Amino acid sequence: MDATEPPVSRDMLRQAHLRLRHSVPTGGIGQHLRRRAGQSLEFREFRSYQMGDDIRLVDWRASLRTGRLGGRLVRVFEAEERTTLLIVVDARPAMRLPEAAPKLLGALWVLRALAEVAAASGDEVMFGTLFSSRDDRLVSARGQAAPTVARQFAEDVWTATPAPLDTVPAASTVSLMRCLRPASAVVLLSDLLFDDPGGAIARFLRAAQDSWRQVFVQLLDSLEAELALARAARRLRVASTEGRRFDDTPTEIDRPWEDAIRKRIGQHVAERLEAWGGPGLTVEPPLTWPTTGGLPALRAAFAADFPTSGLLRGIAARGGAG
Amino acid sequence: MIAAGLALLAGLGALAWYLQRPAPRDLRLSFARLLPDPPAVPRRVPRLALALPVRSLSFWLHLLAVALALAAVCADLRLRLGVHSLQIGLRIVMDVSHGMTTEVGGVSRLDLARSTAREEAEAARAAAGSAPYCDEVILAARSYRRAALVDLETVEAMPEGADALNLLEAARQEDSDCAITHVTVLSDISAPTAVWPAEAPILRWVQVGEPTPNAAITDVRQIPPRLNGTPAALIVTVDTFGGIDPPVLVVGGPDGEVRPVLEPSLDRPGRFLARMVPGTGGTHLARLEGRDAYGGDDRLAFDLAAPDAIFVDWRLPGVPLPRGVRPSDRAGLSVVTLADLGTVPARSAVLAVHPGWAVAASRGIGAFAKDPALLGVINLDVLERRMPAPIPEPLPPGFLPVLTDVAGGVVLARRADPPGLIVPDPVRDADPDVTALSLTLFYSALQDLSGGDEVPLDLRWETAAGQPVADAWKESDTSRPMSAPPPPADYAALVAKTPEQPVWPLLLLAALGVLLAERLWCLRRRWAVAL
Repeated sequence: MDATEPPVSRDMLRQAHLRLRHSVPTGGIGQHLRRRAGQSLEFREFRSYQMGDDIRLVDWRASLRTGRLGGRLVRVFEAEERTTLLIVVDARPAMRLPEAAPKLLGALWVLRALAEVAAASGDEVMFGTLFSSRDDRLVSARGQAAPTVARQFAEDVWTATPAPLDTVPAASTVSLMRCLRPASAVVLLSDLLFDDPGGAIARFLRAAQDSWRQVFVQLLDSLEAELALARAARRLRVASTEGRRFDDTPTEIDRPWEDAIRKRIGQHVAERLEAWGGPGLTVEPPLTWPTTGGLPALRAAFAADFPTSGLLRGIAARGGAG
Repeated sequence: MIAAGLALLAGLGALAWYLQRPAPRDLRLSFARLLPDPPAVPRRVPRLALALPVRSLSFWLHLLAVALALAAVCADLRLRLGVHSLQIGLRIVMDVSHGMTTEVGGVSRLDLARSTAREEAEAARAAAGSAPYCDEVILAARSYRRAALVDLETVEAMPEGADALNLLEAARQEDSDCAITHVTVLSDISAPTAVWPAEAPILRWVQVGEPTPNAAITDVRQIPPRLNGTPAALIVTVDTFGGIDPPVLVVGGPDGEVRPVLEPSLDRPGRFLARMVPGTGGTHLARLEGRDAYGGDDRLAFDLAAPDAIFVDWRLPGVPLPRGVRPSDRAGLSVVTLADLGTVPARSAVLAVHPGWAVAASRGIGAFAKDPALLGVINLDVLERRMPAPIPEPLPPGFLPVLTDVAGGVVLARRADPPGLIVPDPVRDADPDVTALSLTLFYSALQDLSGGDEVPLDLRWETAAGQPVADAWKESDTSRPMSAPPPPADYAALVAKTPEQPVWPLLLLAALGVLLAERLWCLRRRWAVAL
């Protein structure tokens, strides 16, 4: 079993399908009916025959009921279109913490789970990373190929050699912006603890909300788990992280210190979300890391929480195509 | 005390260890970038925290381990692991020495022991009830053999004497199919004071047989004749027990029977000695007239082979024969000059003299060997002044120096087999010191070679019917006072005597277990925290 294989039932994921707002941009032929005339079998309306219409679409009975000679009516059907999901993973080195149950692993589980859902409905999925040291080209796949490509992408991200923790991560959104046009929805998987000094990420997320696209932000919250680690140690020497350097002075862990941390992080996340705010932004309830038990506990928590998570319920639905 | 001190030190050490503040732990936090700035001047934190580590499970576990170790060292606790079921294994050691044939009123001591053995076995079997039970009988005298309880009826006394050590040895036998828990010794001997091992089965010593007077011939000694003419003597020892008068002693031999007078001995009350001149060599029989309690010690046969005079092949014409010496060409001892040593038969003992005093020599004493028979009565200070001349020729084969002068010349020499001595010749008309030295050396050598000690006799006790009884003298004291009978065997106490196990290994094991639990708990906690 791969490390990045999500600990949830694949059958459950296969029974779901993407259910985005009907207003999101779509393309090609897919399983999603749209309020546009198309080539599906779903009847939409009658309209008057126009030159060039296929004579086989004329509904003769309806035409006779109009009572007008030559008033022929043709059947118009709804369109079946395909949606495209762009999943962006925050791949900062700090996402590999806590070491026993890295947040990056949880993000990759979500990524592969959504790829399974997209594959079931024949949609296209694009995968990209933020702050990655690897080639930041996006990877896309459609239909049944999506899970395989997602697996390869996730394994590549997971096994890539991370940059040192103390380096300042640099976000690259050029490729993401380039591939934004076909996307129907964007999913960002992150702890939102990064800094965005140039505002590139904010610009990308605001642009992602244009054209009625949906943007889902899934927060990965390991704050309490890491605070529990710090609490157990009582006194710590914190490793330098993302440009913030600490000397050898030990840090005493106490309740005020923890409260201050919670407050700071809460403010930081709120600022991030406020900067990205727009009509298409949906911030899902965070996936919370268990405070003890490590990876097995995380697997169990993911298996219990993800099927009922806001992200899955917001993006996918059980039953037929929508 | 030392252990307590060590444990106290260990406890204090553990306390000090847990009073230490833990070293800061290196940790990587994903939100470290957002941590508040540390204080500009870090607060100094003392190394030791004054608060007791009451919330530390490790501390309490370590304290418990120290307490257990202390208890293991100091507390002499014993634990009876379970109650063992009652199991009785009875060994009856029956004295079947010849003295057990002593009868009083037609009942022998063997009969008494036999009935007592049956009672002991029945009591043990009844105490065992349905519990496992086994018994065995050891018939012991000077030697021992096993028998079954049912064979007691046909058991007879063995024609040999025994003592308490023989019985104890039989009682301690371990090669048995029966797991022995109790040993009962039935004997007419009083219980010995020998220490019985604490871990051995429970011992009961039951003395049977009322005290009965007895007289016995316990020893015969032959005193050889002396050089001074004292003739050989035969001394017969008669012991009486129970305060009776000495019986009439009759000693018979090739020359007929004599009835020597028994004189009281100074050794102990009740002992009488009969001194007589031995007659012609041959088998003799000493016997007591009359009948007493035990008849196995009333007749003693022995052989007199030693002559009643000292016969010597005396070839020193100038030296007169001592009074007790008879000249004989076929004697086993020859007294010759050193020059005639070659004419002495090869297997004959020899005393050779050399003219040591004829030559003036004022040399000091050199090396000499320990030889009490020769030098024990010599005043070496006088000998230093009147040192005889050494042997003028090489030592004959087989002789080793006993005394040499400072120049290494051999003055006295001895041969082990056949016995032989070379000493200076005796002189009578010289300096008084020289005369004394020469005569002392010569006659000491002659006494040594002529075998002046007693000749051990082969003593053979026998019954009136002629049956030999080995070591019958050990059975002679039939008047031993009866010791108080031991209390009945408490077989139920066997359960209480279930071996107790010392607790200290368990305490030590528990201490180690606590330490292991503490380590495992720490590992689990560390693992859980790390995750």
